[in-house]
Amino acid sequence: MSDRHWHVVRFMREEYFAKGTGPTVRMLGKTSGVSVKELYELFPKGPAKIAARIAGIPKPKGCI
Amino acid sequence: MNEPIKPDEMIKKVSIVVSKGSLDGIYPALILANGARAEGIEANLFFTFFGLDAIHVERVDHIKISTVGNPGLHVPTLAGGLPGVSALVTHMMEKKMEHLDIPPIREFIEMISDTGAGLYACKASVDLFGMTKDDLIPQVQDIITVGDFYEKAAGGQIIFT
Repeated sequence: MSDRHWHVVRFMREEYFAKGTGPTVRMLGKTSGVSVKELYELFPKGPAKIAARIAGIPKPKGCI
Repeated sequence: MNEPIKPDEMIKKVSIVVSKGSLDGIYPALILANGARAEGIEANLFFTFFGLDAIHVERVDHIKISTVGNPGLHVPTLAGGLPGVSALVTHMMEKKMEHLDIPPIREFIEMISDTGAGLYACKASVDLFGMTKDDLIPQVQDIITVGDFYEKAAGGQIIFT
């Protein structure tokens, strides 16, 4: 795990504890400072899904 | 629902054929492709026939809802056929989508391309409509034959919209 991976994981935790649900990939791409392209490079098996698992939060809800 | 899926039952790849050029023909395909990638599933989009409008440089920004012969819309067919009705209904739907943060088709396709999904145009349809690669948005990786499509789809599931 690189600093960029941790950045995403920490961001997901912050969002989850602030809003009650973790961000989807689209939301991550818009708000985390990491582009959608880079998110998939960091987590090829599903950025929001895998980062949520590492962050210890539920899988984000939302279709987009 | 929370039962873990057995590894051999997991969907590993989907190839989605987009054959319609209406808003309601295109969005479900884009949501399926984007959602697949979010789940770590490999995804391909294959645009054929009127589905090509979704990747056409000019037409992609003017995709409309069909208001004629669309009973789900609950607009009488005669009224739906009046000039401007399709544009009006499409505009209303776009407003609603914007409110829900559903991206416009061009932006959505750019995002899907960034997820690493494959975007392809059907050669037979491109030839039929007299198009070239220059008529298509840059995210389209290639114009391919139906045989190429089956090769890319091999080992996965195929969805037709």
